[in-house]
Amino acid sequence: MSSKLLIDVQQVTKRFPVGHHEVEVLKDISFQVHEGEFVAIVGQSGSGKSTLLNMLTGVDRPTSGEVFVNGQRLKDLSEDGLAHWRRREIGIVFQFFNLVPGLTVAQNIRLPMELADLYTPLERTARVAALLDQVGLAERATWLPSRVSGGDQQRAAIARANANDPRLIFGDEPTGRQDPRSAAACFDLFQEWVDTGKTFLMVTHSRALAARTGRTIELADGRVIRDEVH
Amino acid sequence: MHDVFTTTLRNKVWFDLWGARQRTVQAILTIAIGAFAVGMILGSLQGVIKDTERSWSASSAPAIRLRVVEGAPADLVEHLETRPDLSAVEGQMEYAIKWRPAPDTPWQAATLVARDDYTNQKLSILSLESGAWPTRREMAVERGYPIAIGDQVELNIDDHVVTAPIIGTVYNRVTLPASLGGTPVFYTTRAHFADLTGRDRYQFLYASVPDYTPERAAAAAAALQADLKDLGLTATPASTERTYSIDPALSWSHDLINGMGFVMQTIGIVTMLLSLLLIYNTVNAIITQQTAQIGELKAIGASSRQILAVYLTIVATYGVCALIISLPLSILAANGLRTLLVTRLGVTPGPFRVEFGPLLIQAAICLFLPVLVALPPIFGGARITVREAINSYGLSGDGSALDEFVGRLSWLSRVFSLAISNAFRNWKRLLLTQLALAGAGVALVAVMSTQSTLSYASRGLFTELYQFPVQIDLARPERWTQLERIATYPGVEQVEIWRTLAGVVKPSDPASTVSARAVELNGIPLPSAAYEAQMVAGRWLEPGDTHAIVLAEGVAAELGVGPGDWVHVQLPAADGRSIWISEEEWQVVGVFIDPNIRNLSRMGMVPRDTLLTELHDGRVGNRVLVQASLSDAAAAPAFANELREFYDDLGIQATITQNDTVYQRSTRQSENLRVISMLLMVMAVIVAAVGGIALSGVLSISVLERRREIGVLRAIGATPRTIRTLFMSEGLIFGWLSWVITLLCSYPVAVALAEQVAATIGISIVFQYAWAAIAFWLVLASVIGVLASIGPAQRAIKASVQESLAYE
Amino acid sequence: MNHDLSSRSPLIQVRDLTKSYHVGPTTVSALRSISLQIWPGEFVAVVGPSGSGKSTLLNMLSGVDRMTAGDVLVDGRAVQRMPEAELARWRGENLGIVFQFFQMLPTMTLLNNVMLPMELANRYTRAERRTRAAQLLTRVGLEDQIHKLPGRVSGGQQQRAAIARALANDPPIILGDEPTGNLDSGSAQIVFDLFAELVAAGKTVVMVTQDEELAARMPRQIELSEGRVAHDQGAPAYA
Repeated sequence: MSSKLLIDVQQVTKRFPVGHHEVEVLKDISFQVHEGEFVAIVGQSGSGKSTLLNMLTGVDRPTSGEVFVNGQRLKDLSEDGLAHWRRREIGIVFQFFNLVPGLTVAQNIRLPMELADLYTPLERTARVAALLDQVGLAERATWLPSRVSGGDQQRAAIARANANDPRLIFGDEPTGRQDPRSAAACFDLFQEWVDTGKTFLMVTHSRALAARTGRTIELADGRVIRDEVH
Repeated sequence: MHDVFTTTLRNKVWFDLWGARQRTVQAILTIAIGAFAVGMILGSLQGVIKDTERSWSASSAPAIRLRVVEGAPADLVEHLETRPDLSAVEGQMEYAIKWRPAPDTPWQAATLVARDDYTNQKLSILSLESGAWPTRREMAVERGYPIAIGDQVELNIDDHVVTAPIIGTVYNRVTLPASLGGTPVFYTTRAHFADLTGRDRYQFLYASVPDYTPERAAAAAAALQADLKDLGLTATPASTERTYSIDPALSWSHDLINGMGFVMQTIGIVTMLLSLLLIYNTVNAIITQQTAQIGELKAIGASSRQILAVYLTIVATYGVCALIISLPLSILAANGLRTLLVTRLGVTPGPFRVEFGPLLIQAAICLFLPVLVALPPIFGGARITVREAINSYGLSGDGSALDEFVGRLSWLSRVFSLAISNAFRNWKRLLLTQLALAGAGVALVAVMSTQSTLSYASRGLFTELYQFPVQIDLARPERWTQLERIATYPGVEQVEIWRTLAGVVKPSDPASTVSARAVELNGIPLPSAAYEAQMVAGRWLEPGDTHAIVLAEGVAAELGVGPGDWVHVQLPAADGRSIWISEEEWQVVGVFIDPNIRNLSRMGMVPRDTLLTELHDGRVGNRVLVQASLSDAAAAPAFANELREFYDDLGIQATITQNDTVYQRSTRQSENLRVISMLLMVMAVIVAAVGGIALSGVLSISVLERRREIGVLRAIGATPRTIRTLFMSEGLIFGWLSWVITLLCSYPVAVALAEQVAATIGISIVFQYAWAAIAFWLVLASVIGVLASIGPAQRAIKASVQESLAYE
Repeated sequence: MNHDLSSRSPLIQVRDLTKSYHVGPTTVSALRSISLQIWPGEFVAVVGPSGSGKSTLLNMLSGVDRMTAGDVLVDGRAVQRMPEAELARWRGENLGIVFQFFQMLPTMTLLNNVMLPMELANRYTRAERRTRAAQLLTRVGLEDQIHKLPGRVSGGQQQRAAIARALANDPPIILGDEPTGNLDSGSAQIVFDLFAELVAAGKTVVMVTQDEELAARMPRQIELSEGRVAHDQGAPAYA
C-alpha cells in the first residue's frame, strides 16, 4: 500500500477486573490502518470493540502491547500529553457523552478550537457555521444541548469531531442515536471526509453500515476474527 | 502560551454557576456561614479586648494599692510623690456607710469616698459621666445604680443621718460595675468627708512606678510599707488579689475576658473546621456530578490545567460571593456582640468600627480556604481518565456489599432500604458529613453543658453548699450567748455561729517559692449543719480536728498544696499592738469546691474551737448562719433585714452587705457569669446554625444528584408522597446517625470545655451534662433532616418525570 | 383488566394531542394535533426521524410529561386529568415502562428492583411479591442473577430485568422507549422476543424504535414526521 501508515496496533491485550475476577477483553490484537482508510470495527456487545477504540484514542491504556498513531507511541504520553495530542491530531464522536450541557451547540463546536488555540476568532466563527451547516444544525446553533434531540446532539458531536480539521477521526456508534435517514446523511459526511484524505474509524454493531465502509474488522471474544477490505 | 481559559470555558463556568443556582446558593451559604461566624467571633473578641483595655488604660490603674489601717495624713501623699521609686501617688478616703433612696426603705450598704482634687486626678482616675463633680454638700454617685441626678438620698454615717442631693454620676473603671453586683459609691469633697466622718485621712494609697516591672513594683511597695511602718502606720494589701502590687495592665475583668476569649476562639476554630469540611463536601459533590463532563472535555482536548481553571474559578467565585455576603453581616454582628458583651462588663462600648485583623482572616477564609480544600477533589477530577469518566450512563453508581445485605433483609420495605442504601452510598461523603454534623452536635452539647455547669455553679451549688439561707456578718465578734438569742425570732429554725477573719497562708515547705496569700478563714463548729462541703480531694473537717485546714480548690492550686501538706498560717491581731497574734503550722486535710469567682473569694475552713484558741478569743463569733422557714428564696433578703434590726435592738452591729443571703450571693454570681453564659448561648446558636446548613447542604446535593432516579421511581409508580418519604427517611437517617455519634462523643468533650472555661474564669465547678442539649440536637437534627430534604425533593417532584429523566 | 378483542373498543385513544416547548423566545412543536387509536393486544412500533416526536408521544401516553392540548384516554380514563399522586398510582398499576438505558436502581438487587413497583402500588402480599418477582426474573431468564446488583450484570441482562420490573404489577400495557437501542444485536433479539411473547400473552405493547428491521417485524407501524403521523399501517381490520 502506497499511503502512509497511520495506526499500528501491536499485540494489544487488555484485562479488566469485573467483580472479583479479571476478564480479558482484548487478546493479543494486531492490525494496521493506513491514511485515507474508512474502517468499521464490528462485533457483538462484549466483543471488545469499544475497548479497542479506547486504546486507539488514548482514552484507556493496554495491559500489554503497543499502539502507535501517526508515529506517536501513545504509551509515552501522559494524561495531559494525551489531551494535547487529541486536541490537534484526532477527533472523537462518542455514543452518549456528547456535548457540554452549559454551552450552546455552536459553543460546543467552537470549544476544541479554543482549547487547541487554533484559528483566529473570526475564522472560528466561520468554521463553526460551516460545520453546523454540514450536519444540518444551522438553525440549532444557539440552542442548549438539553433542548435538542439525541440525534441532533450526536450530529453536533460529529461536527465537533471535525472542528480542528484532524486527519484522523474516531466514532463509537456515531449514528447510534439517529433515525435511518439522518444516519445515512451522516454516513455521507463520513465518506466525504474520507474522500478528502481523512481517515475514519468507527465502531458499530450494524453490519449494514459496516458494509458501506471500505474495510471491516470484526471482533469476537476479544480477537480479530475477520479483517476484510471491500 | 495561549489563554488557558477560553471564552467558551468561561461560558461553561457561568452556566455551572447560574444554571445551577440552587447549588451555587448552597455552596455560597456554606462558605458564608463559616466565614461569618469566624469573622463575628474574632471581630467581637478583638473589639471587647480593645474596648476594655482602652477603658482600663484611661483609668491609669495604679501598680501599688495599699490600705493604711490608721489612715495616711494629707501631707504624706504630697511627700510620697517626691520619692524616686514612685511616679505618681493618689490618696482616697473611704468610709463604709448605709444609704436608702427614701425614708421608709431599708438601709443598704454603700461607700463614701473623697479625693483631694477631682479635677486633677493622677491615678485610678474617676471620670465624670454626667452632671458635675461634688461640691460642699452635693454629692456625685457611681453610675449604674438606681440613683439619678437631682435625687435626694439619705445617708447613714455611724447612725448620723444626712440628706445628700446628687448632682453628678461618676464612672470608676477600676472597680466592679453595678451590673456585676458592686455597692454604690457616693463621692464627696475632702472637707465634707471630714465633717461627716470626723476623719481627714486617706485609707487607700495608690501609686505607680516608673517603667513598670513586677519586681520594681514589689520593691517600691515593700519600701513604702517600711517607711509607713516607721511613721507608725500599718499598710495592708488592697488589690483584688490581696497583694500590695499588681500589674496595672490587668483589669479586674481580665479573667472573664480570658474565659470569653477561650470560648470564642474554640468555637471559632470548630466553626471554621466544620465549614471547611462542608466546602470540601460540596466541591466533591459537584466534581462527582460532573465527572462525565470532565471526561468529555478531556476527550476533546482539554488539558488538566484547563479543567483546573474551570473548577477553581467556580470555587473562587463561590468564595467571592460568600465574602460579599458575609463581610457586612459579620461586621454588623461583631459590633452588636461586642456592644452587648462590653456593656455586660460595665464598660462603655466604643463606637461602631471595623477590626481589620479578623476582617483579613475572614477574607482569607472566603478566598483561599475554599480553593485550598477544593484542590484535592478538583485535582482528582482533573486527573480522572477519560475512560473512568465516561464509564457509566443511565443511573450511575455501583451497589456495595451493604446494598446486597440490605437487599436480603426481606422484612424491610423497599423504599426504606433504598433510603438506607442512599444514605450509605458514598462512604467518604457520609464520613465527612457525619464529622461535620456530629462535630456541630458535640460542640453544641459541650457549649450548653458548660453553660449549665456555670449556671449550676452559681445557682444550684450555692444552695447545696449553704444549707442555711441567711448569713449575717457582724462588725466585730460578739458572744455566742448574745448571738443565739436570735433563735427566738419567729421563723428562725436553727442558728450556727462562725468566727471568720482574713489570715495569711503560705506553704510550710521551705523549698516552695509560692508567695503568701490572703485567705478568708472560716472557723466552723464541727460538725457543721450550715455548710455541706463538696470535696475535690482529701476529706472534710471532722469533730476532733485541731490544726486542720480545708482549702478552696483555687487557693490550694495557687499555693501548690494538697491533702497532707502543711501550711504556715498567720492570724492578724485585732488590737493593733502587734501584727500577728498567731503563727502556726496547720495541716491541709482536704480541698473543696468554692463556687465563687477566685478574685472575689478565697476560702479556707478550720475548726472554730482551734481558731478561737489561737486568737485568744472566748466563745465569740462574727458570722451567724440562720436556717429559716421561708416561703421562697427571694424572700431571704427581707428576712435578713429583719434579723439585722433584731440584732440592732440588742446593740449588736451587723455589717450591711448585699451578700446576706445565699439567694443574693448566687444571684450576684450569676450576674458575674452572665456575660459568659450569654456568650455560650450565642456560640451554641452559631454552631447549631452551621450544623443545620451542613445537613441541608448535603441533602440538597444528594437530591440534586438523583433527579434521574426520582424520575425512574415515578415512572414505575411512585407517588410524590413516596418520593418525599424516601428523601425524608434519608434525611432522618443522616440526622439521627449524627445524633448517636454526638451522644457517644459529647461527654468527654463537654467536660474538657467546661473545666477549661472554669479554670480560665477561676471558679470551681461540678460538671453538669446538658441532657437538654442532647434532646435539642435530636429535635434539631430531625427537623433539619426533614426540612432540608423536603425542599429539594419537592422541586424534583414538581419537575415533570420527563425532565427528571433527561436531567444531566 | 381483561380486554376482549371482539369488543373492538380502543385501549388507547389519542385525540388532537399537541405538545410544544418553549425554547428561549421561540416555541417548538414536538407534536402537532396527533390523533390515533390503539386496540388491546396490539404490538405497535413508533418510528420516525430524530426529533419527530416519538419519545414525546410515549411520554404523553405514560403521563410522565404534560401535554399542551388534546386528550389521551387510556382504558377510558383521561391521563391529563389525574392529579400527580393518582397518576403515579395509575401508572404503577396499568403501565410498564422499559427505558433505553435500563434505569435499574443501582443500589438494589434485581429481585428488589422488580419488587419495588409492587410495593409502590401496594399490591400482593409480602410473600407473594417475592415469589412473583422471582418468577418474573425466571421468565426473562435471570433466575441465577436475582440477588445480584444491576452493576454486576451485563446490559442485556439489565434490560431483561427491566422488562421483568415493567411486568411487576401485571399491567395491560407495556411501553418501550428504544428498549433495544443500547444493546448489541444478540441481546436486542432476546429482548425483542420477550416483547413478542408479552403480546402473545395478551399485553398491548407500544415500542419506540429506530431499528427498521425490528419495526418491520411488528404488525403495526406508526411513523411520525415533524410532530405529525406520516404513515400508520397495520392497524387491526376492525379499526
